[in-house]
Amino acid sequence: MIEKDEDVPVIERILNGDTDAFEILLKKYQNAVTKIVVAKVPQSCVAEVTQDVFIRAFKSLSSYRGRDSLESWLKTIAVRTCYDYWRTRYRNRETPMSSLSESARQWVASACTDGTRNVLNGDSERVELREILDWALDHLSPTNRMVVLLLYFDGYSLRETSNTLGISIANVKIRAHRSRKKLRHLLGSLL
Amino acid sequence: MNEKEKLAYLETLLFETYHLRRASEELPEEWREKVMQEIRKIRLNESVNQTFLERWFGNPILFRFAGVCLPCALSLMLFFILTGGISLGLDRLIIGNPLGVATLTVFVP
Repeated sequence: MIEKDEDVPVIERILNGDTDAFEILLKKYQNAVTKIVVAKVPQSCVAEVTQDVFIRAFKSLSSYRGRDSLESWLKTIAVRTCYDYWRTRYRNRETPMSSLSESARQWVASACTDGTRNVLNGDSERVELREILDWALDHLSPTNRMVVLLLYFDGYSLRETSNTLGISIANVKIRAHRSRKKLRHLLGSLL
Repeated sequence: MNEKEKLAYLETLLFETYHLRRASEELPEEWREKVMQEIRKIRLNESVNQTFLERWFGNPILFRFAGVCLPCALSLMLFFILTGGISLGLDRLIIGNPLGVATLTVFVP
């Protein structure tokens, strides 16, 4: 509540034409927004998408009603911007879906054989896991991808996912079920 | 491990990978300045538009209305002209509605 009140004068300054005051919000919320973006889009696009989030927030600042905290409002914009990123990317996809490298396939086989070691210690193993994660998610549609990330990875509720993506709760359930089935099938094919 | 356990294990690893990626806070240095540049550009464009509309229409509310739906604005203007009065000042055209509750002032450049 205190944070919310702190932001109100800054928002008023921005709306009255003091553009530079936006930097205060930028500095305050950049980490929260980046944490969302960094997990949802490729590393090379993080800066670009994060910029888009703040530019969208600036453009629609006059529509911020203060019902939720500014942080949650920005987080919703961040998730929607990531969603738009994937929709645009899928629409303009020129290259075929990435296939999994042989080293990643071999890594899965060895990791599952020796499941007791701490596989996240080595940097090279993290790279392989990231490749597998991206490969699996690349097989989902933009909406299904976001449903899986929000619902299973970020721990959003069905209602929160539905509100953020602008689809019904029933639709979220169906998409989650289909995506889970598809991911299980994909990961199962690696074993 | 059997197939089911392997799958569950792999899912756990991917979950951890996702959150490890999320924990990363490496930001490019220059992006904040870029955002501010873009925002200043937007503000500049907005003020240019406002000057333009103030010169031509005088009333920002009606200008916004015209911007959203031009046929509606033109119909409204026509309605005012047909039912109300028009008077021409030194540098402006004033169109009044029949009830006298709203007036559209067009500044003549």
